[in-house]
Amino acid sequence: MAVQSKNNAEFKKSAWRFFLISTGFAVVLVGVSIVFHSTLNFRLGRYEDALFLGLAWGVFSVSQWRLLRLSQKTVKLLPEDQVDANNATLRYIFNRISAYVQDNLAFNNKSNVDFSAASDKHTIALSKAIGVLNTQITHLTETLTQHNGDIDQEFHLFDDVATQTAQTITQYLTLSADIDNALRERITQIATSLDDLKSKLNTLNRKQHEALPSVDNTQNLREIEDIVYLHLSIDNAIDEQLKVISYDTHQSALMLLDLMRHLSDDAESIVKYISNANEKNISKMESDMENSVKFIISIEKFIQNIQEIPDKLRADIAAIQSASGVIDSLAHLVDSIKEISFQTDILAVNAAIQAAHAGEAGLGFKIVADEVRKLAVNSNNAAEMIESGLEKARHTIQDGLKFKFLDEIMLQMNGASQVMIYVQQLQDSQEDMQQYYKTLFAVINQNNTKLAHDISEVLGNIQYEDVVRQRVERIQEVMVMRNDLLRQFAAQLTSDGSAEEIIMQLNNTLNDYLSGESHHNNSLQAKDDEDALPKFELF
Amino acid sequence: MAKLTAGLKPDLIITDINMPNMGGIEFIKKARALPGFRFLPILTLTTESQQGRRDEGKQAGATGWLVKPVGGADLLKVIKQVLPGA
Repeated sequence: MAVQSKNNAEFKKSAWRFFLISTGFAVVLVGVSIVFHSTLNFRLGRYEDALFLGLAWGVFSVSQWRLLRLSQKTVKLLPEDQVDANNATLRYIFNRISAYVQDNLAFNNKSNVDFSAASDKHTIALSKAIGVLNTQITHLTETLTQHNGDIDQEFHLFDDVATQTAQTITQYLTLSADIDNALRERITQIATSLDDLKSKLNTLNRKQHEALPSVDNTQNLREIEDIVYLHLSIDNAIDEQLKVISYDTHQSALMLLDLMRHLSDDAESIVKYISNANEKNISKMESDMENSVKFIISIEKFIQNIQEIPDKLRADIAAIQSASGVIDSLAHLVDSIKEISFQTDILAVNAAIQAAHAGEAGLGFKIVADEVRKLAVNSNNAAEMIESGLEKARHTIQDGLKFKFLDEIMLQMNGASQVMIYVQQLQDSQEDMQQYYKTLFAVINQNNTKLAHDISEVLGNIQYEDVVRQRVERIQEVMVMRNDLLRQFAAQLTSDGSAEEIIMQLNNTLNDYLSGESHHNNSLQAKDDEDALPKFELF
Repeated sequence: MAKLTAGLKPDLIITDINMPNMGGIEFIKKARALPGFRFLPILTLTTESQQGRRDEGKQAGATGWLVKPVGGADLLKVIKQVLPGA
């Protein structure tokens, strides 16, 4: 039961709020309309209508007074914020009506007849609505003043009255809509008249402009449109070329990557080959080198020996010559001895002859002579023996030297044979090395050829940089020229003069750019274009 | 160009078209006018591909027109065509 009572209280509060809002709206609207139309009819000289409206105004005033009293009794049921909202709504409605009134007044100044007809229609409808509203308000007032404490019953009645009031307001709003439509029609007419006024003002303005030269805004707008269009065209052209540049750069990068991979593979194979060759041959080469060093040392010694031979020979020859000299000098002594012996012999013979001549006296002398002669013979024999000995000594020296030389020669011959073997081994080793390096160089040369080929292909692809550079430079040029022209145009907007020259230059800039770009192959089109010009052409 | 006038006698000339100081077309015309350069192969290596520019090169006396980028193998192939003994 408590819950039901609370719901009833909320319902009553809502219903009362609705009633106050709708009624307040209607009262204000109707009151203002009545005052307005009554005043208007009075001014138009339609006194009967004005009297009727005056009576209606009286009824309205009474009902409004009653309603005010009622509100004073019940306003405490409304929260303050709701009151503020209602006031705001009322202010809004008042403003709307004021606007309508102003519109009507404006229109009536132009055509009173049309307004009167519509006003009559609406006034009658409003009067009826006011009558119904008055009855309802009276009924509501009675209900409230006779309230005997049964609050449920009270708000059922409020509900009924509120429903009827809402219906009345709806009808009035419908009528208001009609008024609104009529006003709209009038506003349209006002707008037409305003257009006429505007046209006249434009005419006046044009005449003023003809009298005083000024900026033609229409022309300016057209020029701005042209310039914006050209600006966008340049941007689109640049965008298209940037797509081509992007595609070319991407393709070039892919090709370069592929070529660099080939280069890397080739370089790696060379390094591997050299590395393997080193590993396999390094020990053999080291031993060969050691042997070669030994051979060279042996050869060096042999050469030293050979170089010593002339000195030895010279020393031996000198010794022989010295010995021969001594022997020769001894030979001379032998000859002297032989000569002395010969002279002694002759002397002995002469002494013997002389002894014989002396006879007996010379017998002793003859004996001496014979002895001297024997001495001479013996001396001669001794000399010949010495000579023979010296000759033997000479032969012995000569033969000894001969044998020594032969031994030496044999020794040197053996050394030479050994050297020949060393030289042969060195030659073999050198030939091995030559063959090894020949093979190595052949392989390296082959790989270098591949490397050179790959590098030339890389260099060829780097030529894309020239293409891209020229295109980017052209984009920079066109952007600089465009920005310069836009700056000129911006400066021109604030001054007198035409922008036709700037538009023409902007157009030429775009055409020059497109013409420059057409000199290059369009990679994006060329891949599908069978009629594309060949990359290589011999004339 | 100064080297050519000074007496340099190359077997083949490869020239760009878009160059500072002197363009390729002008260079070919001047080179062809030199004694001994009448039948020298002169190839262009350029970013330009338009038929009009090719015609200009042909009239100036270019032997062939190569559009960048040109790989080393392709370049050698063309060189062997214009220099059979190479």
